[in-house]
Amino acid sequence: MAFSDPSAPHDPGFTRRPVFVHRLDALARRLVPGGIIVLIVLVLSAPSGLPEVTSLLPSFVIASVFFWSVWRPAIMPAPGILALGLILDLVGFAPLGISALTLLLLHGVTLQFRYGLMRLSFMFLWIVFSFSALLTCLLQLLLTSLLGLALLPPQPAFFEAALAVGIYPLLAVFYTRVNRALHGPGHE
Amino acid sequence: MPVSIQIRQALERLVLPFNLLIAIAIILIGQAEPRLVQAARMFLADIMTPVRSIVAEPAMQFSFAVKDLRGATQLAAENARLRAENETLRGWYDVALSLAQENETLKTNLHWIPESEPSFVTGRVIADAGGLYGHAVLIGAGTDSGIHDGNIALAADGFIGRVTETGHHSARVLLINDTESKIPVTLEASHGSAIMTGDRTPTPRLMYYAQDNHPIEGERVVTGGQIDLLPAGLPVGTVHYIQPGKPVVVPFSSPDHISILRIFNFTTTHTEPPEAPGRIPQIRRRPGMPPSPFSMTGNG
Repeated sequence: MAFSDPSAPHDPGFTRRPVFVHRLDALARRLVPGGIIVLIVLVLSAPSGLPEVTSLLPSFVIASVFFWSVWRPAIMPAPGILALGLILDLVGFAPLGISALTLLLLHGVTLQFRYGLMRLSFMFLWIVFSFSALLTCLLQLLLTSLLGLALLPPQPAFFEAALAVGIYPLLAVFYTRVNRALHGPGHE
Repeated sequence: MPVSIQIRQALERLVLPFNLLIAIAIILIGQAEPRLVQAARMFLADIMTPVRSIVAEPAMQFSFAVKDLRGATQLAAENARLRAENETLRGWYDVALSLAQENETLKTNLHWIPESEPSFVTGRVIADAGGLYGHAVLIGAGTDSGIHDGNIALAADGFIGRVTETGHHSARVLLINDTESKIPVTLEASHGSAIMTGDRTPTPRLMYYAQDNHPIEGERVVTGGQIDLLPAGLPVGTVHYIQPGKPVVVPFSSPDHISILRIFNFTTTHTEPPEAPGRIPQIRRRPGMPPSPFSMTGNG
């Protein structure tokens, strides 16, 4: 399509159906990754016999938010992250809103440096993510301690960060495939 | 609706700060109105209960199968152990029978007022509800099954936690190794009492015991009857010193691996004290009398 004045009126008779179908399709594509994450969070909160699944959930969400904030922020808009954080807190019986706040901060900071991060090699991006995850977990620990008016032991936060760092490469491989399948050549 | 690109970009830039503000507002609301958050939590838990039960079922079958497989490799040793244990237990069975008989006779002689039997329901653990810093589980039974806040949760071998939040089809059980859990206990051999405090390890610590009456290694720990709804004498575990001067309780039921819980309602056994025990009834003052020096209604 040639560049045209965006404020010019569209011809409804000609464009309505394709635009509607296209929009529905685009919406579905945008909702799929977020839906997968919510589904995994809800399913993994059931006892599966795996140890430390409760620590895995926040780590998984931190890694997911970071990945999509760097590579396709449209999939992880701020309201979606807010909802995801709230679900995580409700399911995990953490003080409500703390995950939402820290995840939004992670998203915001990542978004600021997005174009620089996209140019990094996988190794460096992983290192950057490690620091981001650690800071996010420590912030969560700090906020939880503040709200509970009691200093909590820092080990769980480090453990959570370590898990996030550990599962990031696996998730990155998986999400890169999802990203390609949904938005690869021929879709955009 | 045609909106100019500049306005749209400005709005898009505002989305993140706006959401951050919402998150902060939610944190503050959660602090001001914990009940609201609790209701939201149990609402979500109620919705999720059927889904989780579906997931939990095969997971439990799988863990049973693994256990069976492991057992199959040591059948002979297991058999020998069981035979020995059976023999010991048969001895204990006779002891228990004669003790029950004796107890019955003594109670009859004393005109003992029988305590009402506690009612209980059994629920499956459907989710870990502890989060990063807590130790709690969610079970698939709630107020619809007669579970209330403060009910007592017993695993296979002993006391394991208390119900802290209830939904219609789910309830949250705070386990004894959560840092919030502080249970008064009685030590059977030394007759001391102490507070069992969760410290996020599988073995809760013993604190606040008398300094001239230290817990003895290996003695049984049972619940003390000092708090409401928790009757005295429920088995908890045994004392173990991990360091000199640092006794912990090794629970009979490990809080790390629980799949089924019995939730007991001991409310019926709770006795209401008589009103104003030992207090002198207040004398109603007549209009002509001088004001009492102990009067609470004076304006001085």
